[in-house]
Amino acid sequence: MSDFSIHALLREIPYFAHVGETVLAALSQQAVRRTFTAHEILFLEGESSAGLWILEHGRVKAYKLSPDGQEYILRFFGPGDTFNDLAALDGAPNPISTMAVTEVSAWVIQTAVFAQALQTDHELTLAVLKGLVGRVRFVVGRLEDLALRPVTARLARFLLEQVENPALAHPAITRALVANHLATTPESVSRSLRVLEESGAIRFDRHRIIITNPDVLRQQAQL
Amino acid sequence: MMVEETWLPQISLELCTGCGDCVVVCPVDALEVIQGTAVVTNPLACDYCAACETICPTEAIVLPYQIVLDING
Repeated sequence: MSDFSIHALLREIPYFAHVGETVLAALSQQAVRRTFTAHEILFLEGESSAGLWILEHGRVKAYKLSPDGQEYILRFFGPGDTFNDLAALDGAPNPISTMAVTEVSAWVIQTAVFAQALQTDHELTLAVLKGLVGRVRFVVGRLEDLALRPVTARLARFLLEQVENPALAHPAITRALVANHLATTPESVSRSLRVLEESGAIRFDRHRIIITNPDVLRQQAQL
Repeated sequence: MMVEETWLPQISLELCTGCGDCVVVCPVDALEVIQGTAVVTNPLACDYCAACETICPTEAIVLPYQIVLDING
């Protein structure tokens, strides 16, 4: 991909939407493109950070592993998403691990390059602050989910997120994957799916889980 | 009629021990054990009941789902 197309990609991302042309051109020239096959690791928790990641194509899952190896999926990223923002800002090791769910192409802006741009461009600094606030709100929401909502409510919320933000939707959901995402077991996911089906919020059509009544699903999600 | 491969039970060759529990439990005889591994040999028959996924003792079988919104569905 040429500098021009990474330039256009950056311009579409909220962080860089209002960045000055000179800074954007410098970032475009220094960004490094990386490609991955499905199931390939992008980076691991605890490793030195490569910088800020920008997903051009494909889907990536961010996850953490418990001491006994249990995977907990934090979220999925889709085209145009940035990730590993925290490590790109403070230069500390990666706080999460990421794996390609599909074939992936992504760009990396090294921490030093990103820091230089932040010092130069006031609009970029404001946009990054706003983005970080969004991430904090997301984490608070997940904490609230885990601490206060039962599995059925968390599952209902997960299903709503999948259809309300198609860019983040997983192409093929399995019970095990949802269980990891919700920090529960596949059996609990199966039970909760039955509860949602009996409530009239969803129905099964072979491999499709069809949301037939979003209002009922929102009630089940306690939203 | 074709069944898209994505929307069939996915069987991990690494995890499957060839125990045959899935073959026994499948209500439509969609599975067989061939050379020590479960295989979906009759994809058109598979109605996605998830019995194989539920019974599998090594979690080698998973059923992928697509989530769609259809308020008329």
